[in-house]
Formats: sequence, C-alpha cells, structure tokens
Amino acid sequence: MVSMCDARAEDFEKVYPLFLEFNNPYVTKEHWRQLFVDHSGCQDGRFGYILFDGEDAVGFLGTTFSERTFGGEKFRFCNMSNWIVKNEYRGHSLGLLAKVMANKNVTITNISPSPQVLKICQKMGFTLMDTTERIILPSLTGPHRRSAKILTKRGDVEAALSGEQFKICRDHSLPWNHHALIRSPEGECYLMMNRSEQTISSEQTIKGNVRVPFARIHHLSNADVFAKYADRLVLAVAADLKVVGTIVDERTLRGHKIWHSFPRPGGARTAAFKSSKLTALDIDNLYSEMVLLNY
Amino acid sequence: MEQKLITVVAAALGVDPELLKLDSAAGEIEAWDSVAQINIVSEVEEEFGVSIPIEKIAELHTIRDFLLYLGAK
Repeated sequence: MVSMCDARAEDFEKVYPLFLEFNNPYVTKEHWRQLFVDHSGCQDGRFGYILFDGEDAVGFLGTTFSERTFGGEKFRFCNMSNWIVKNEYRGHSLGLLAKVMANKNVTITNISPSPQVLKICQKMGFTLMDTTERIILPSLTGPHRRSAKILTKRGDVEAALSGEQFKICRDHSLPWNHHALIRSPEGECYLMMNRSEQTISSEQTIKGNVRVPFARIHHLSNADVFAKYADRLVLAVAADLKVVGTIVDERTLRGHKIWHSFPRPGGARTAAFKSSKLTALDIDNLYSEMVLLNY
Repeated sequence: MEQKLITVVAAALGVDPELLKLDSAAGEIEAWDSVAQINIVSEVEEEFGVSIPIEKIAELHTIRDFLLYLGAK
C-alpha cells in the first residue's frame, strides 16, 4: 500500500538510502542530513514529502522554506530539491510535486533540476531562469581600487551586518559556508559563498576529470559594488579559502562585466521558479540544496 | 471515448495503441514516466477540452482513471 506523508526530521534515516541512488560520491551523509535541519526557522517541522510502501521509503521530494524581503514586502520561498522515486513507483512521482504545489502564497524554486524535472516544471507553469556561471580568477593586475575594505572573517562579517543580511549569515553557518563583506564609499556588498571542489571535465584538461577548489557565490547583495571591487574580493577570498577562483551566477551580475572572468566551461544551465510577483533577478541560491549539500 | 483516449495516450507515449488496455498503468509501461504523464495530460486536455488540476494529475495512474475523470466532467 503506497502512501504519502510529510517528511519529519526523524525520517532522515528512512530516506537516506534513497539519497545514495543519486550516486554522488562528494555528498556525505552529514551533507544529506542538512536537508532535514531547520536552518531558516521557517520549516514548521516539514522537510519535504515521502512516498512510503508500507514501512519503506520509496520516494522523496525535499522542501526548504525561507522568508526574504523585496521592496519592503516579505516573500515566503519553498525550494524543492532531490526529487527521487524508485522506478517501480514512478506513477506516484507527480503526487510529490502536487504536494509542493499545494503550498499557496509561496515562490517555488528548483535551482538544480535534472532535464526531466525541468520539462515537468515548464509544463506546470514554472518560469525558466538562466543559471549559467562565470569563473573569476584572482589576479594582481586590474584596477584594484583601494577605497574599499574587504572582510572575509566570519566574525567580522557577522558583526558588521544587521537585519535580513545578518539573519542570512547566521542561517548559513555550516562548515562549508563562508561569508565576505565589501565596504566601499559606494555602499556595501554582502556575499555568502561555499568552498567546494568542482569537477573540471576531461575535455578541458589533459589529465582527465580533476577536482579543483573554488569559492562559489550563492548570494550577493549589491551587484554594482561587487562588480567594482570584484578583483580585490576574489584575491582576498582566494588567499583566505585557498581556492583557485570564484564562481558566480552570471544572472546575479545584472549585466556587469568582470575583469579576468569567463563563462564556466560546460555550457548554459537552467533552473525554474514559480512566483506571482518575483523575477529571476530576485532569486539566488540561499536556503537551497546548493548551500546545504555544497554542490 | 474509450478508443479515442487509448489513441491519445498511445500517441503521447509513442507506443502502439494495440499495446494499451484500459487498466494499463504508469508502472507497467516503460515509456510512461513523469514527463510522459505530463505529456498525456496535455494531449488529453487538448483533445477533450478539459483542464486537469495538478492535484488530480497525481491521482491518474491508469487509462481507466483518465476515462473516469473525463466521464465525471
């Protein structure tokens, strides 16, 4: 008998074997567990939906809730991730999505969908958004304007923040979450990023697939300030986190060009969201599997 | 309506209509995955002039389910 229910924190061990079917050697059990932790204080005890056959979990769709403010108005977000259903139960897959879509007055995001899931989202009225990434390399040449101060120590950054940015910093406190702040005469830019090893495929190297450490920006609060001081920020982050470069979503740069940067090899990526008011420019990777699982 | 529905489902799945019966279900037909289910729904909506809500889509597991849904409309 197949049934569906809310995923509670205590269900993690039942669902964990399903996560192994994603076959991602870089995501550990502790990473997966983060999908069942309330980082935002908005989960109401629910972390997604589980499909059960008797006592066995045969399907899962994760939901990470958060609240953000745009133009003085609060918006509730539901990021869906890690949708997996055992093959013999695939007829019930859409039931999980129906549960997510039953959440009213929320912006639903799907940041890293598979091509199949993207097709389903599209049919369900989601808006596609470009998530093509740009790699910025540290360099000693460039304008390196000295008028800004760059903070990369977590304690310093947190002490300098207030309001929603402070909460974002507090909510993203996993060992692989990092923070930076650019303080300039033009204003401040707060950045939340992960340090993660990214695969550079064999087409780009002579040694086959290699894993290289990057800082990956998941949120930046001010694209104008970031663009102006990106060279200094990237250099500081490279030294602090011991990374070869910084990755940022092209979309979040809002058209700014950055020195010593190029599109990430491997082609364009697409994600999807469904919102009555917000646009792709309002959506970033905070409170998503990208930051929780350190993709 | 029965035969028309089977023809519509077969076309959406890209399979021979002869292979389908009213009780053919998503779990039994290799091509009938979630994406195919959405394609079936789109085709059924167009051919029969109905709009199927998402929560209902998730409950339609067999061709007979579609038939009953259309019959109830």
